[in-house]
Amino acid sequence: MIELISQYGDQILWGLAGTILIVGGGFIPGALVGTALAFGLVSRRRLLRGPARGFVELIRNTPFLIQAMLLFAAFGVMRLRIDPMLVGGAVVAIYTSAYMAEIVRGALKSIPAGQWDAASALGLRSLRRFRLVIFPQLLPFVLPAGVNLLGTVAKESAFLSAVSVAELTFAGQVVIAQTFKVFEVWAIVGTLYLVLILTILAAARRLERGLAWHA
Amino acid sequence: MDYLIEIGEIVPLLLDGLLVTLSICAVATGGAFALAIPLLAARRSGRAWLNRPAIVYITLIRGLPILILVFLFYFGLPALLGLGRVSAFWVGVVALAMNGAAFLSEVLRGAIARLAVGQGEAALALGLSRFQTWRLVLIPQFLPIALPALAGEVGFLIKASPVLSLITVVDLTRRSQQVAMQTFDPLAPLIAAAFLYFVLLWSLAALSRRLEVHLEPGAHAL
Repeated sequence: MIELISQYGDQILWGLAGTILIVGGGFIPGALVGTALAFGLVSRRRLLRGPARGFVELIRNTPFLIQAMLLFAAFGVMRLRIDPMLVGGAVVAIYTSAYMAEIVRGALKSIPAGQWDAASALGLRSLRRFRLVIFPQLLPFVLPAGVNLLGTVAKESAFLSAVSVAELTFAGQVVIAQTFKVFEVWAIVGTLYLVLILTILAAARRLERGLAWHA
Repeated sequence: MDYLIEIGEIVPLLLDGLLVTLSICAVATGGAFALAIPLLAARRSGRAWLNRPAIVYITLIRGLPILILVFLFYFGLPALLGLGRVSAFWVGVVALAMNGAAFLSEVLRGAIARLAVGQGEAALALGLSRFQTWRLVLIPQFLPIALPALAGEVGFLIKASPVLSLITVVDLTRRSQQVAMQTFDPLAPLIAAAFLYFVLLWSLAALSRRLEVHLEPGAHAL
């Protein structure tokens, strides 16, 4: 075990770095797009609401692995040579956006219509009204749920190894191919995921407690 | 439009894969519920030697990707224990069930916690037995509360099931890859498989919404 870690430890740590890079790099733009999508979901205009709802349902009702395979196959068919890390990040971003949209939609719906009206009555318009009145009320719900989603996305990202993205699981497979230490490598890789994901989930719980001022 | 017609032709080729996926999900869901009940009882128990292991188990499952759990069980454990070949189907189903049970038991625990403690005490005070209290008072109330979240967890189990395709089980996902090889079309079989997963998950959500209305306390009186 010690020999394994000293010889192949940095390979596995590079894999962990890949996972963090892809998950972080995909999650942030995904969460921003998802927030924008949420406004599409609650829009009164059918031309906005329809496509937003269609996209969100499409992503939420198909497996992550299928989405990853589809995006990679689509880029292959178009003969686009893009770094697999980048495509992996795009898969993460697409997945995140759909789930984030539902989180933000739920938060938006929980804010009474009177809050919008009251803000308007105070002379606040559009962006300022959102930034100063609505947004602070969304945070106690959206932030913990969003961080929880980050944990889920980190778990799902292991599937990207199946489409040869150089992340933690893939690094594990590479090391196993060199050492044949099947159990030891999966135990080490599993421990790293456990630390990463439980840290994220613990942060979500802290946020939930810290931000629940109106509960 | 031509491409959509082609996808329609590929769907029948995938149906036996869909059948395998359906049986994986059915057996794993049944197993997950069967495991969730004792897990819930242990988690809610006041005795440390019962609830501590339950908490550790649930925490481990929450923190591990299902893919790693399946690889540990299918590749890791047989290598460690010196076993020969194990059934990929059953290893996968057991892993999915163990994974699902942790989440189902947490959903049920949350739903029970939301019911006032007084409900159970009131029922006991009225002379109902513990069993009757659960069957007549608690379960009818918390089932509608828990149902959307339970259906959501079953949905996540279905969405995790393609993990079996990575340990040689020919489910819908792996079958779609095989068809892609045969037809030299990397995209259409995947789109068809995505469509079938969508129909499956969408039906589950629709069923959950219908049941929710039906099970709502007082729904029968109306």
